[in-house]
Amino acid sequence: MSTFLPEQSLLTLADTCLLSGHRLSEWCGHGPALEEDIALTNTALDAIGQARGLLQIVAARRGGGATEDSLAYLRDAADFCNVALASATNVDYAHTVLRSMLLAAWQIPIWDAWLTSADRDVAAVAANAAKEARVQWRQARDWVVRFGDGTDESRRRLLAAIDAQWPLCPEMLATPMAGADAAVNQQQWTDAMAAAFADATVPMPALLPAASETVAAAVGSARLARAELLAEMQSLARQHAGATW
Amino acid sequence: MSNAADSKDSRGWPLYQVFIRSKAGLDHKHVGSLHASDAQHAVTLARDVYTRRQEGVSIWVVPSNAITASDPTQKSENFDPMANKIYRHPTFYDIPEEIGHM
Repeated sequence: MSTFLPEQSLLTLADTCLLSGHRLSEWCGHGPALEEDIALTNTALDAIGQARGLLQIVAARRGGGATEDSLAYLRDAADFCNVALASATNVDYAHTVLRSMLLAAWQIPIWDAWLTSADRDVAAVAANAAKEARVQWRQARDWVVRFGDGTDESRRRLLAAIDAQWPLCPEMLATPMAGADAAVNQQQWTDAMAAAFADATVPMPALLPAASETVAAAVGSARLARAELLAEMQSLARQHAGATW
Repeated sequence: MSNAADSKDSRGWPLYQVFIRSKAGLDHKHVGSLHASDAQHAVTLARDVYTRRQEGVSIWVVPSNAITASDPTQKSENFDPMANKIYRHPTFYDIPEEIGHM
């Protein structure tokens, strides 16, 4: 008999993976280089695969005809539980790789904690996801360092991305996740960021209190962006119910 | 020396040749090439371009311009003369009955 992790936590990570995966998929065919396009699309598929694994679990436990597809494509924006950073817009490649780095560092300790969870279904998803998240972390961090320690232009773009996305991090770090210790995770996350920012030769801003107005404003605009993302992502399923190909 | 192997792409990224060792294989085999900003980046990209379907457990990349190749126009003079030197193949031994088929 499996002990179930709370649905809210499963949906938080599932929706974070689904929306950040969709954001990465928006680059498909538009990557800065063919090779990078393939690499980024692989990462998008990894993230969407992680979301599927968790959504299948949630759907099975909800019953009543719920499926991974109904949860992904027919749920209203207000019912999504993602951390706000997941839906932040791509803007440019610096914003994209920074978002991936910030998210991956937050996800890794959660997947690691779920690896040994008594919730066996979730542990099975985490086994693969913990490895994939590490690849995402490494690749994104590598790019962030290149942007920061590259040309004046690349550095300017990274600094703009930090300005846009750093205020979203307190909300992410304050999001309660069952089975994971938020305080320990935040410390690990901050340490990992300090090292990455140092390698990128850019200053790491102080984290604002999660309750501050700046954070609330950033989260609000990411929520608006999420509504637009979902309008596009869900349009096909909503217009053509049960469509297959 | 300059040849096609030196070619950089539109971003100025140099070309790398990619070698993959499969799970069962002992040697790295040439699988293709890609452009990357430096060698470490090439390894990262090679993972996604050439090992997506579990093709390998180890990756080597080599800058294409580090490879010196034989001249294709000398192909016939280099290699054709081997064709009539059948004595270089170990085909002139009588194999004892008890060895059987080799």
